Amino acid sequence: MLVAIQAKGGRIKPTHLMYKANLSYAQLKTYLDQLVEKEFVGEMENDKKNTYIIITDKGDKFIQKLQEMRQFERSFGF
Amino acid sequence: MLNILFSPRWFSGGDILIDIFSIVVLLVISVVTFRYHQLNQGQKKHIYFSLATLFLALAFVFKIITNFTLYEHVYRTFSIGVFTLVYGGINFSDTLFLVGTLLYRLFTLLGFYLLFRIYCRRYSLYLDALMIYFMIIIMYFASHAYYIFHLTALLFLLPLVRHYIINYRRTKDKAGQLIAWSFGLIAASQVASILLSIDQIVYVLAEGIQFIGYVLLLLTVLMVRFYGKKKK
Repeated sequence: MLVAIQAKGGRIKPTHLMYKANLSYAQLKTYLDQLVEKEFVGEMENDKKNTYIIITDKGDKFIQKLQEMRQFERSFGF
Repeated sequence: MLNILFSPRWFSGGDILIDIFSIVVLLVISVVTFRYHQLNQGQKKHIYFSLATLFLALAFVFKIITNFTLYEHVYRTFSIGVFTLVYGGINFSDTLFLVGTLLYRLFTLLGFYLLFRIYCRRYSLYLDALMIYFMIIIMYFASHAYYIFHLTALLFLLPLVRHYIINYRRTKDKAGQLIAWSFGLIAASQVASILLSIDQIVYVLAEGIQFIGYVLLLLTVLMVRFYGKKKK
């Protein structure tokens, strides 16, 4: 989910995220609550009162660490 | 014992610097892999890798301690009537040196074994216990034939080098190529260490190769971090 938000420039509509992450609404809600609780994502509204899910700095850093870890695993052949 | 027999006088201190550098590199890798373990606790290989590098760093700490024991200067006083003579000498602490050497060997073998264990698919608790038993035996008997210790370390390193070469060929990953080179050089330093009795310069060569190996390993970690940021 975080990668999907990041790929969209750091903000995405909930419906788009649902399709991108291939999740049902109930699943999306559960995972989103967890990500909000961990402060990886937040919610914001724009002028047209559309709700967007935005990735926080903490979420950004988490993805970076995850990519580092994957690169490490690839390089060391884990 | 190695330094008394094999290290040229002009190189004493240089080997300590190389070992300190190796400790720093190993501790950096240990911390980094421990953080990866915190990110993904299901993957036990990270924590094994972190422990292995920590053991290797500890081994170098004990190696340095044995060096300091050898170079320790002691001043003694001796009274004759009203005169007090002060004279200097070198105090050899055999017990500390022996314990330091044994712990250096134990942690080196444990570290390399743990690394080997990460990639070894067939293992069991019995095999682990057996290996630790053999390591203790080797660690003890290597006092009489130092090359047995280096040979054992080499035997753990060779499958690792093979794995990293195969991994590089499969992934074509540049950091993976550096890892294969660095472990290849660390293995080569063990080969040089086996041949220490030929000439004192071989000890310098072994330390030099080890240094380049750990420089490459540090570069690898930096590359991995760089790639992680680049993929953002």
